[in-house]
Amino acid sequence: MFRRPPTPVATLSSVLLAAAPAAGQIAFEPPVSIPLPTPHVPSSLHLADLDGDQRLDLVVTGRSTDGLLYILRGAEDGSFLPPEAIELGFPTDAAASGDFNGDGHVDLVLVARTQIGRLIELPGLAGGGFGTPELVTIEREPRSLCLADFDGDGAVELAATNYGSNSITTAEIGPEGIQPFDHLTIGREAVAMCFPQETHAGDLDGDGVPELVVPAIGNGRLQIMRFAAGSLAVPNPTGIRTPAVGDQHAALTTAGLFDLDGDGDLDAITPAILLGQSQVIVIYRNDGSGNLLDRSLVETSFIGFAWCATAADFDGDGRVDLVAGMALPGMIVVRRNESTDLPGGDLVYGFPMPIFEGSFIRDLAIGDLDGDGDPDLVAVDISSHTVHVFRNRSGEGGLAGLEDPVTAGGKRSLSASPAADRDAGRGPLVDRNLDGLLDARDVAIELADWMPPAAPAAKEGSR
Amino acid sequence: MSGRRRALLATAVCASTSSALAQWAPCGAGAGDCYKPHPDGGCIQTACCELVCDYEPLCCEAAWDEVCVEAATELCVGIACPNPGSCLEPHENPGCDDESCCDFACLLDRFCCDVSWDRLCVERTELLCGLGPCAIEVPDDAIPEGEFCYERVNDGCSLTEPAWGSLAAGLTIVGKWTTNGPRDIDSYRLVGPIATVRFRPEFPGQLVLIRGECEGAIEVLAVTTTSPCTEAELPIALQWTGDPTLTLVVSGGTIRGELRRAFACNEIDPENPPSPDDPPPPDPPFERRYLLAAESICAAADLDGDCVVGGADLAILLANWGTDNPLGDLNGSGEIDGADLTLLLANWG
Repeated sequence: MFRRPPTPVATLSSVLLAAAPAAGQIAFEPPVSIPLPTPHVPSSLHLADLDGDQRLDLVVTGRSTDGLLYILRGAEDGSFLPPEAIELGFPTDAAASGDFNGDGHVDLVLVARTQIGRLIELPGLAGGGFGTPELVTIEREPRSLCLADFDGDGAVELAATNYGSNSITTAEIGPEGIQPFDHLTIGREAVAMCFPQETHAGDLDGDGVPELVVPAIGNGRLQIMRFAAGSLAVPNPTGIRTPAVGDQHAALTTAGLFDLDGDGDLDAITPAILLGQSQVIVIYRNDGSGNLLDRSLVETSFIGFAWCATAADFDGDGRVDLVAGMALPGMIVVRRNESTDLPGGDLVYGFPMPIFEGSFIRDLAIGDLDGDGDPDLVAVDISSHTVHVFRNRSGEGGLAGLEDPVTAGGKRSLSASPAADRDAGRGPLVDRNLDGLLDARDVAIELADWMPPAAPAAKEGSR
Repeated sequence: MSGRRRALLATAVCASTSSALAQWAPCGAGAGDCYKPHPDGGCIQTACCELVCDYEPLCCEAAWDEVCVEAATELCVGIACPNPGSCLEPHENPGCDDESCCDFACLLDRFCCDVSWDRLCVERTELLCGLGPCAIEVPDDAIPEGEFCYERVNDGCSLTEPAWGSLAAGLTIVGKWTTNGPRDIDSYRLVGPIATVRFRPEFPGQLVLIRGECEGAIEVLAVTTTSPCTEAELPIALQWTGDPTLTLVVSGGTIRGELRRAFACNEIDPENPPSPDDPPPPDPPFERRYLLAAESICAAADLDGDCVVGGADLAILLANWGTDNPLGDLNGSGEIDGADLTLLLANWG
């Protein structure tokens, strides 16, 4: 069941081996790796200029019981200074930023991934420090949040996913702090537990009101919610399934919104897991009206599991490239956009280019770290507690790609089963979404809950 | 597990086997805290009390002393109903003082009984307190759902090969919903013009109206929830009628979430019968049947939804002649025949 057929990843890697990039090729400097204090169990990245020095700083949330949040200030060379700890007392899973209280300083808002789920607002202070956190309880085990003006009142609001409650929370966030507005249970129409993992906001249909996009890893659907004009009530969702591949549907994990085909509207991507086949990124192309049913698959790697993905025009050719972060093992794979008929034509990607091999790439972030005008890449490995910074050197020389571990002869042996690549000692696959089937969605849920073997459990029953 | 706990558990299992149905009068409301010594026998948590008294009858017959407390500590892990604290107020300890309310809330959210009774537990309790088992009256002409609870016949898009039941105006379906092996949902495609659907479950029920193909986009159009034996009415908007993918999904839940446990199937799968040694499944807190009825604003014989019974309707009926298609089976006999034709002609015009 787990045997994987050969894919272009394996055959191309030798071509890419440590070669200087040619024109039109994507290349990064060798990564700068910044270990985080343990046991932080880093879970997500957020890039923002927190202190007003015109350099991007990095917020690293974490799931360990120490309840610390780490901030890495941007360094002059495009890397980061050593991590600064902020004591929150709760494991966190996502962060966003903005001047919510209107005092001119950048504030942070985070989700505490606990059974008594909380939103945490950290008020920014002059100089980039933070004041006392303010807490608001929401539902069970929130895992993500996003900010947008959902009700069209000119101010940003907040939407969060409650993984343990299968629900979405909306909240006002402003000078009066965080005020939850509505909760809605989603996924009631399916046997499977819904498990909403992430949330993103974007105006898919061009009506000026952002939609909420939520990958529900339990029922394998990308849930899209369209807010009614002037309302912050959570709307009923519309769900789109990942495409069928043979006898299985890819199990989506996370998501992102980007204009991949240059036609002016937002498309969606979800990295997705297939058992026994290459891992993929699912592309949902927008027809301009918010309809994302035009779906296609882009392969990433045939080892590990697809966990996270993002997109940016790394090589400056006006086309948006894809990058995927894998789990167990944690490859980072780039797919260069080589489409020739954009906007609107077919999306064509170059061969998968592995640029890094870690253990479990839990999140990716894009930003111009060194101020040279091109997007750089930041990755975090939950297993090695390390942030990796990849400065973009496309067209300037640098590391173009890594040797593929499968074809590298002795560097690493690939087990016949990706299940065996997971940490030793875990039991067999179980029906995590309670739908009566053992499939890729159960693997996705297992990865969503995955902790490094040595990490202690988080407080209040957080997984 | 400590040696003492192993010994306690072993003794308790033996004791339970020998007196499995023993009912200890001092157990339950009005008795003392299971985790504090008190002069009277018994303690407030019925399940815990019975377990301890099966092990040491003196805990019910005499006083609830230190030995009983120790036994409770060892044997009653996970039992939190009832516990000190109002069900209507958040408090630090798990469980609350109204056993049935507490049990119901923990069906929705184990956190309430495992860790702490927080605001969400209070919200769940408010929806379920005071409710008890009840029975619906099943009309003689109600059509059985056609799915044993150990089967997966009408679970819609949740099936590898999707399948649905169907519901047409004028028909009433009696079905059963359960949570084990795996959780059941019952999906019905709406056939023909339907103005309203009436839903009456014996359990806290949820009715979801969706449309769309399984691949997507599946759009949730409406969700309604109702208490046991209380009828919910779901209007079907005119713009939705005629969509062949319009589907009703029945399962258990409240406005605060879904029910996903405790409603065991009570039918025996002949191909996979339980072992004689298996204990029977526990009784659910509510019964499992429901009624789902569809009404049309038009005459029942108006098969094409134009509110006029005419040649087009006759053509539909004849096209389905001899089949069991609900669209045309006007008398719900399970077959389209002369009786249905008579009904159509009687409503002509």
